[in-house]
Amino acid sequence: MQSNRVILHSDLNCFYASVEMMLNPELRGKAVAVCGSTKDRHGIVLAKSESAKKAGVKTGMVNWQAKLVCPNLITLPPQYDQYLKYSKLVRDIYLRYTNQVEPYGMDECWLDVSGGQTTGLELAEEIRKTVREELGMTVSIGVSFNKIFAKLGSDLKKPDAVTVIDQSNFKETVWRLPVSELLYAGRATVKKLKSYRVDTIGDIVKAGPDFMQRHFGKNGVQLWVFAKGSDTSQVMPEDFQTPVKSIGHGITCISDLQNNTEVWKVILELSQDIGHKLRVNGLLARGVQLSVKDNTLGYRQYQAQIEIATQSPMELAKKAYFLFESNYSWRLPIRALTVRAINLVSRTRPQQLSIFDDLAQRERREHLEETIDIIRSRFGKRSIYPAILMGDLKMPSNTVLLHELVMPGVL
Amino acid sequence: MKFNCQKEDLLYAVQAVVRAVSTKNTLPILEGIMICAKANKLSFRATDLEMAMECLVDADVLEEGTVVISGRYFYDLVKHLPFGNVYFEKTGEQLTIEYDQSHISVHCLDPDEFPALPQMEEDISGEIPIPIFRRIVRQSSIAAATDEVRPIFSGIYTQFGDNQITMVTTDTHRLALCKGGWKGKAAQTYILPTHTMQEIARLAINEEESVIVTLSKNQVFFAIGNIIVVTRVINGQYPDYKQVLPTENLFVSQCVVNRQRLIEALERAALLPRDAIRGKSNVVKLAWQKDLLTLSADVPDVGRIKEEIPISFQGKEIVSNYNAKYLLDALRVMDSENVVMRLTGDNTPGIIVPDAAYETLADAPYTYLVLPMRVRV
Repeated sequence: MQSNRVILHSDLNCFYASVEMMLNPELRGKAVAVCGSTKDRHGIVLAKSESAKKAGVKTGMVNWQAKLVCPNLITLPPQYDQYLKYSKLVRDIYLRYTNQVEPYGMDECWLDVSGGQTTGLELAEEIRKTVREELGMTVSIGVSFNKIFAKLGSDLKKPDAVTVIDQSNFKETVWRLPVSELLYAGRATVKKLKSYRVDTIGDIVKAGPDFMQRHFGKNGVQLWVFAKGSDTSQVMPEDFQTPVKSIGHGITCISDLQNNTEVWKVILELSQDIGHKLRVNGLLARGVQLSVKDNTLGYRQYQAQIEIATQSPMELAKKAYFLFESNYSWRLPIRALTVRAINLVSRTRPQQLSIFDDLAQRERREHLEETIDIIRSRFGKRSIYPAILMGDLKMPSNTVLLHELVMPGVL
Repeated sequence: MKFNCQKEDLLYAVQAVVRAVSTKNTLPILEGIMICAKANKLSFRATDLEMAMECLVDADVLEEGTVVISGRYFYDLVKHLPFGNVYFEKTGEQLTIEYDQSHISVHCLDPDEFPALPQMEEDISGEIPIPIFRRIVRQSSIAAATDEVRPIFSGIYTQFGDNQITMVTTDTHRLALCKGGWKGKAAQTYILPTHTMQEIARLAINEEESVIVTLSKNQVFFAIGNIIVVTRVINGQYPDYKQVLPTENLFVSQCVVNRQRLIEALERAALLPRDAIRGKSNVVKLAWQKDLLTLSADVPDVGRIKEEIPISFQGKEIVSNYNAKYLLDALRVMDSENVVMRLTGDNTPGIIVPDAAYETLADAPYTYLVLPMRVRV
């Protein structure tokens, strides 16, 4: 039954830029890039239009570099609420064909359309036309018998195209491609594979599972399974929610943090949102992870366990700050911080009480924090907050939380 | 070095000291047992730097000397030797072992590398009758932490008082407090490694004898017959356990229950399989009411159990959730037919004491305090 699945992977071309063009038709055909704010030090290209791409603008370029390669580039600030809206509209079109629609980020989706009367190619063509006619955006769609090849197919012909990778042609089509085309083959893996002279996806198949296990472990074998087209992972139904494994919040500061007090403020601020999200999801954290990026972009990560599982922003912040204080040597100022609540457990899980912890006091504090959360949900996040967070935190104003990329439910 | 020794004496000594042979593979020499032959005595020594053991046995020493051989190998070899006399001779780095008409030659380690054992400089501090020693170690060791996150909690906090020894352990979820008599004067307190104390209790077999204790600044010496165990002391400030024990006015109810009956019920309740999502600990709900203790456990999608045990009860009705293991640990090391459970509330400490004659709680030979589990909906 696995071999005759029909899976589509639909990728919206230049999604952010396309939405911008929808909203302002004058931009059509021009070199457009959606960029973060230079002032807030998020000044990199987030997305670009087809003509900007042709001029050599790449995602991740710093704004002035992009201007350099493409002097007539029109740069726009991101409008995430619009992108989310259009993302949903496109998803609604997909849902006319199947309820197995699994989003991968804002602009990509897998669709399982097995068992229909029409072929995958016919369906893909229909979807492509519908999206163009109804929303004026283009998609490239990969059609295949598993998720991995469908994703790969959607990258082969762009924009506004359909690529079919089936049992009869996948060896010629897929195996000659570089390994980097394979989902889950990241930069480090590709580099390591290259050192073993494994350059193409076909080379992975030839290398065999034993080789991949030896050098890349469990994930290596997974890559081999993907490469030979034996991936059996399901397209998750539309309402599927991946279980939350950790809740994190990070920020790149407007100017570098220079001392412990500044770091404490940012950690405390980040922890407020984490506490809120834990509460919404009914989870408690048994550990905290802190990632620190210095101004040379050197990156470090520390983590610690919390004895009594908690959702208190203050407790999380204190642990994260403890990690910072006991590990960071201040040789360099700090550019970015991320606090993450890890080892999450359900709030309803029975919890052993401790001799040296005052439960009555803990319950009072929980009650207080719950009340603060209720006040915030009614009157806004800034209606009540710790006094130390008044004034300049060196954090970008109005940071919109990026729609977090949800990894597909295979690994 | 040359000597003759009986297999039985060898086995006795090696069996004792092999427990101090290091298994951690840090220093190769610590995997050895040192044998010193001197004045018709053999001294066997081993240490893992946490504890050191020495055992003296009689032998027929022809030429004095010292040898260190692999502890694990030597223990296995001695077990397999035939009964009777065994002759040892060390030449260079080889040790020759002769028995019957056979001989074995093994390579030995450098005795100069073997750490010197701490010397007993102080006078003997006192002695503990072996039955008491075994009881207080057995009853206290259960509540010591098994991880090394905070080293002080992995040890037994031991107070040598006037004619009374007090041992306290806690892993922050429960606390065990044991008392026993000793012939000795008040001295300082120590945090002693739990594992070492259990090893000493294991060696203390003869119920007629006593464990002779010598307290030194950084170590404690325990002598049982011809075996001496030296233990390192864990440094650190132990929390004030008396602060943790509820005062008399805080108790709201108490019951007397048959110990064996309660153990069996808890064991059955703990059998229901648990999963990682809901937590692996065996939560059992205990409801105390007049004449009846109801135990129940409910694991969704798995099953449920309910047991009723007759009790004699006074006070307020209480419903609490406990980790069955924590209750079982204590009940299993107690001796009395019935136990008294005293409670301070639904989410506050409960204590278990033997049902025996003593004036106040402070006089109980054993007090086990355990915190319930918090269940939120």
